Amino acid sequence: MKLNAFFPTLLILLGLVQPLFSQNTSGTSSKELEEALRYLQDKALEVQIHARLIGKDRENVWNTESRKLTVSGKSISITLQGEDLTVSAHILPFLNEGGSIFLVAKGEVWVQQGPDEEKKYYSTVKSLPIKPGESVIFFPTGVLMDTEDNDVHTIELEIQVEPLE
Amino acid sequence: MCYDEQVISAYVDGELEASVHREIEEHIDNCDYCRSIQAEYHSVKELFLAVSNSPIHDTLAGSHAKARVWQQIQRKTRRETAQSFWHRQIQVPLPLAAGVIAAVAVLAFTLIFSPFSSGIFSSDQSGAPLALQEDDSIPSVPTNYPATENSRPELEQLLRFLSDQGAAVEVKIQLPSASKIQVSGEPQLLRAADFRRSGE
Repeated sequence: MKLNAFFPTLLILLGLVQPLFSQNTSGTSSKELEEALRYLQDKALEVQIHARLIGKDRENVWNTESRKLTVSGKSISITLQGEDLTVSAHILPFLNEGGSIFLVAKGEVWVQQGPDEEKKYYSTVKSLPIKPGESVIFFPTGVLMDTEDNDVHTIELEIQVEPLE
Repeated sequence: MCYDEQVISAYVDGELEASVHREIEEHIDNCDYCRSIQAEYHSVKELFLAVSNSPIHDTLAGSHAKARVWQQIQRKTRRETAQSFWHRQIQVPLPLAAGVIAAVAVLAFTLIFSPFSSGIFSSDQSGAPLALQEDDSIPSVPTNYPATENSRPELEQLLRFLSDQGAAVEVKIQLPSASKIQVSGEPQLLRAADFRRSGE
């Protein structure tokens, strides 16, 4: 194919001039920032966590509440530190296209039952599809329906995940 | 019957056999038309002979003359090349030509739709680098952008959270010191409604 010499010359000139413009495009424009914010807003999730200690007759002996913001696919780690026990719960919500939420919870427990006993480690992953705002309860140390012992407690983490409106 | 002109030309040049030469000679003596053709060929032959014997023949056919002609041709070619650079034809393979056209299209698109050319950036904003955090690892999200009707505290909080946090959000809770936690099985994840229904 035969080309006029004018075109390669024009191409070289454009190649020389283009970096002058591209240094401005490397910065984030306000339009791109708006798009990024809109994307984050669409993927943003508000997670409410109620941590409770439940005693005899399901008495709520202690509780605390926390509210965190995350985005779909980014986990929230909750660490509960006791005297002879450490519980680490990782809450990982995924926002589906239809608006439903797929919740993955990983529980890790380090426990020492007595002063002379070895420290034990348990780990489990559970998942549950939920509706936005639906309450789920994560029992990192297992479910204890009831106990006769006044000093024995179980941990409940009540979790609610909602898209950020 | 008159002879062909080529035969008369051969007669003039003395290229025919003696018997044929004689026959033609007798015919020419009696034919005005053939005699006129013979005279024409004869005059041309004499002219060539005269030129070949003159000094100008050496000038035209000499090595100097050839060299001068080549020099003139080269000079003329160079001049034409210099004058018509923009119109010079170059041979380009078809794939390369397609690539060149695509590159020109991309460059033109970049130039036309760049924020600089569309005037989105003001002169003091263009090319301004994003501010970095103290550890210079995570770029902080600018929070001093002008507030609009749509800007909300939640979004600002989200941006602040994203810029402040690492891979995961950490919540640390200290349990009451007197509490005795019993490990009664593996972790469970239940719907609150299902759990409360089963407890009743």
